[in-house]
Amino acid sequence: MREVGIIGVGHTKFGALGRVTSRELIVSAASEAMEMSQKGRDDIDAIYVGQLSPDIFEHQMHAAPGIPDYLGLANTPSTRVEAACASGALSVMQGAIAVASGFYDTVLSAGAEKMTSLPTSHVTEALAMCSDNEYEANLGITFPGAFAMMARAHEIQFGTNAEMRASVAVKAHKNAVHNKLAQFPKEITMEKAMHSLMIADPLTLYDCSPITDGAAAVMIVPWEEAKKFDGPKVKIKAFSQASDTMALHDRADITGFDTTKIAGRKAYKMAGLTPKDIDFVEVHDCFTIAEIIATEDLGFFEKGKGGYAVIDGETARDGHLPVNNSGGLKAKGHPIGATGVSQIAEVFKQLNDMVEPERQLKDINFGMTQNLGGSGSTIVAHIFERGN
Amino acid sequence: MKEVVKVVKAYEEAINQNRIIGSICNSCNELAVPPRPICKKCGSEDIDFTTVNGKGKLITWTTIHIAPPSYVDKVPYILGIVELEENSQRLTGMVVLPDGMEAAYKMDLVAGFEEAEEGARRLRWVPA
Repeated sequence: MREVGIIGVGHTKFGALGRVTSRELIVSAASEAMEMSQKGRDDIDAIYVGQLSPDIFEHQMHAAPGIPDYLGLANTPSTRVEAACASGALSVMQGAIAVASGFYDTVLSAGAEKMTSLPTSHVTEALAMCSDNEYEANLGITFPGAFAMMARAHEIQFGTNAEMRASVAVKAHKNAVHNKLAQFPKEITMEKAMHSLMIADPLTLYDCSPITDGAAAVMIVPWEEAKKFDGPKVKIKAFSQASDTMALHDRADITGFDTTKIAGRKAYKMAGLTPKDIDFVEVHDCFTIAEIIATEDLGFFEKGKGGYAVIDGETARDGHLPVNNSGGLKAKGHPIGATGVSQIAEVFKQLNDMVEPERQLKDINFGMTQNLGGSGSTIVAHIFERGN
Repeated sequence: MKEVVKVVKAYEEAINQNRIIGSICNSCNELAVPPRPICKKCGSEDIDFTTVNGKGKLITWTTIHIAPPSYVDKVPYILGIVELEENSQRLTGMVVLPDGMEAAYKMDLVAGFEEAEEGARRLRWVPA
């Protein structure tokens, strides 16, 4: 297996983008990635695209060939990757595996979702289909509901309270202020976060990531090629994936995810690193409690201490481990299939000093991403190393 | 050709008869609720169905205010995870409490069954 790297990324604005299809969004992100990586139309061997459900959101099955079609590359193999909200990172991982194996030399991995065309209750229903249909969705579960049950269990066992959760949201919005691609680049107060509309008790509106349209893309090549490239680059030090039961209730511990722990351990091993080596991380904060749990499961904080770390400022931009410096899913937005690719694009830009100066981290060498699908039944983790 | 082990159909039929079933492994005696076609513990395919007593404790819960279209007329409703007495197996379900009673950690619950669409029954949890 050969080492692989990324030499270009693209990212649309995240938000409610009006009448536009996901493939048009991907074309925008992909073109930016192609330009940055100086790859022409004849260079791309294959495309992987992470999308949860163009079927439900856009009445479009078999969406993958639409991407090369609109890119003017109609005969390039294109494959949709679906792993609920982890579809994006899995499309990057599939691309990385394909290039690492030597089968392809240049892969475009993208992700997108066009969600805002459906009313909220229908989006809620579509997302609930990522739970176990027979034993959860049929009985009225929603994703806010599933994470609310985890939040309550975490609160009962470790005292992780509403203030800690709201602190995640306040931090996310503060971080997003200078991210020009974010859906909600504006600060919120603790007061507002803690007293907003109840969605699924104890989670309020500001504990939940929004409904978003957007796309992101990355260009994956062998590291041998990337290291000679006269432009931005990162080495993909590790990629890993783990699965668990569809239903949340089937897991012995619902205050954490075995999948994150396993994917994290596999990634650290592949990279030859430990959590202490990671300088910053983008984790899947679909709900505020999910960020707290992720930082515990990845080994950055002791179990039960993740909430305290947030209120102590340890995960803030100027803390010892900046978490979701982009604004995270919470404030940057969460166009499902795009999210994992967006996290990776953010880490790429940070490691190449390419983000807005106000939010550029200094002295960073290793960045990590954790992308979650379902109620944690799929986790994909990546670790990246500065290339320049 | 191997037989298709229809655990979902068996579970649904049991619910329609006001009972919860699991799978019991004939090799290692492990009980799984809901039933599984292959034993989660030892991997054996030699499983039978067995009815459990439907008693358990509430280990976590939420009150859902924003629901999918099919549940919109029921909000707010309590959804919980119940740990069964037998082999600590767990199930998700709506928790229906009398007026004035609040959900509480480790509250004793018992399976109740209510009318669903087209004569089918649906699992609910009620105070023991």
